[in-house]
Amino acid sequence: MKCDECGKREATFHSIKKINGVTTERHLCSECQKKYGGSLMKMSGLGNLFGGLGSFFDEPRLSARNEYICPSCGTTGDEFLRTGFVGCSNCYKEFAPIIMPVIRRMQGDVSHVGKVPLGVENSVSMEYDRLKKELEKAIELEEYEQAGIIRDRMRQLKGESSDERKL
Amino acid sequence: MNGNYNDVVVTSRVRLARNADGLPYPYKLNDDRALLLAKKVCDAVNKRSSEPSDVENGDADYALYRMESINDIDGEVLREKHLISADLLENKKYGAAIINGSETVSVMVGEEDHIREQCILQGFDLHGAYHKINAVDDDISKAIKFAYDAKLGYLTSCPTNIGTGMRASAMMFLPGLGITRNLEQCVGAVARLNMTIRGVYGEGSEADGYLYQISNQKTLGVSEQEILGSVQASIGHIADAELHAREQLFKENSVAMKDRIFRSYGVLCNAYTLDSKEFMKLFAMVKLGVFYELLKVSDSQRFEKLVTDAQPANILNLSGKQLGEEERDVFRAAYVSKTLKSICKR
Ligand SMILES: [Zn+2]
Ligand SMILES: [Zn+2]
Repeated sequence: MKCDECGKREATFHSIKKINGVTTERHLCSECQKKYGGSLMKMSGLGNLFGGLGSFFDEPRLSARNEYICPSCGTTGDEFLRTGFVGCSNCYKEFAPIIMPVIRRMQGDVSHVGKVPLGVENSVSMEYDRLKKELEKAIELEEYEQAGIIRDRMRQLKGESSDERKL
Repeated sequence: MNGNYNDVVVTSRVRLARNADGLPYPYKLNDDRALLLAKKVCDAVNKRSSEPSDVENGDADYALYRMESINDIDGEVLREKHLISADLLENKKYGAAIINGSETVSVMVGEEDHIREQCILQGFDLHGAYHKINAVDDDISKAIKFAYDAKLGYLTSCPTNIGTGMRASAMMFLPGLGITRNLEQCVGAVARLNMTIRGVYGEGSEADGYLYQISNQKTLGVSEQEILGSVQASIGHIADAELHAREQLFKENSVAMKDRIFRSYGVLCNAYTLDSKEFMKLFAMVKLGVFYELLKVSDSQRFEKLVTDAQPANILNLSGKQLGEEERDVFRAAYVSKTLKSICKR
């Protein structure tokens, strides 16, 4: 039986709860059990959530991870690497050297090009939008050389590195 | 038998993950500021500049459910309807959900992120779902300053959601690919497009009604429109394969398929007791029978709703009684039989 949460690994944890005649079944693999099995308040006891995704981590950098502690929420770099969760927005700044390689491997890109909250300006998202329209026009006019130039510029904007384009 | 994507896509869903600026994220937030946040979100969505059509069908009114005071069954009912997650139910003390009248929009507060906004629509309508949740997102942003970074976009508790914070997904009914055992090949092709597929009610096998959820993995370095486009393209790819498989299946195994469909219909209309697994399995065949035009449905909304109605907590809720497991299965059999006989005929 496969895990309810990730659907990939075999389920090793089986819980059948019966509340007022309602049976709830949970079948989880060990990774997801650590992530979803306990209650939220017991989160500190998490195991290595990213165990199955070990390649996301840049091993040489791991040695220094204990030096990272977020002054705003108290989360440590080690805790982040174990659980996959940061504790607050400031963690992203505080853990930048360990978190950015993780983000690059997970997402393939490092720059946001989407929605901007009302009242906030983001020149990258605006520029990306503009280029996207230009690209569509270039393709429509069959100006493929121009389209290639625009595509490269879009790639630059989102920080895509050619060797890690595929997840 | 000319199918369209609505014969394959059951529901379309778009979810946005957001956090409030300056507050620790839910796993690190263990005080009343979490309760305040839910109240603020609720006020923000209720104050929103509602479209006239929303006011008409009750969509302008949002109700606040606190996990602290909701009873176990009501909580499970919402979870079975995919309006809240198991994670939110676990956050008994501070978790809350804000849900609109037609149950198309739900905002969870105190899940993995402070705020999880989602819109679920029937059929193949990802753009419609995005349009609706985007407006809700704007309204909430007027009341709560979101954690947002110029480079990384919307900041989330886990970097898997960072950037747009967006997950666009579709619940797909794939009996054709399941029965002909072509699903794996199809899943592999879609996985290469950075999409995730998983079973909705477990593994997505026969006993789970052949229901699968497909969604985007990547949230950073893509715009919302690009995510919608890529998920839509993947859905199209799978749906084409599914419709083709259904056609082949019927062409090559006409007698066997008709027999399985009519037997399934017969059992659902006449069983005295029925557990939810058996229901899912038989209902999938009846649904396929409707697609093949062997069975006719007069009220498709009610027909589709049966899947949720038959889930353990929902069926208890419909009975209005405290039933034991055995009595519940008897009630489910009677409920399904009565409904099917009135809206689905040979
Ligand atoms: Zn798992
Ligand atoms: Zn922090």
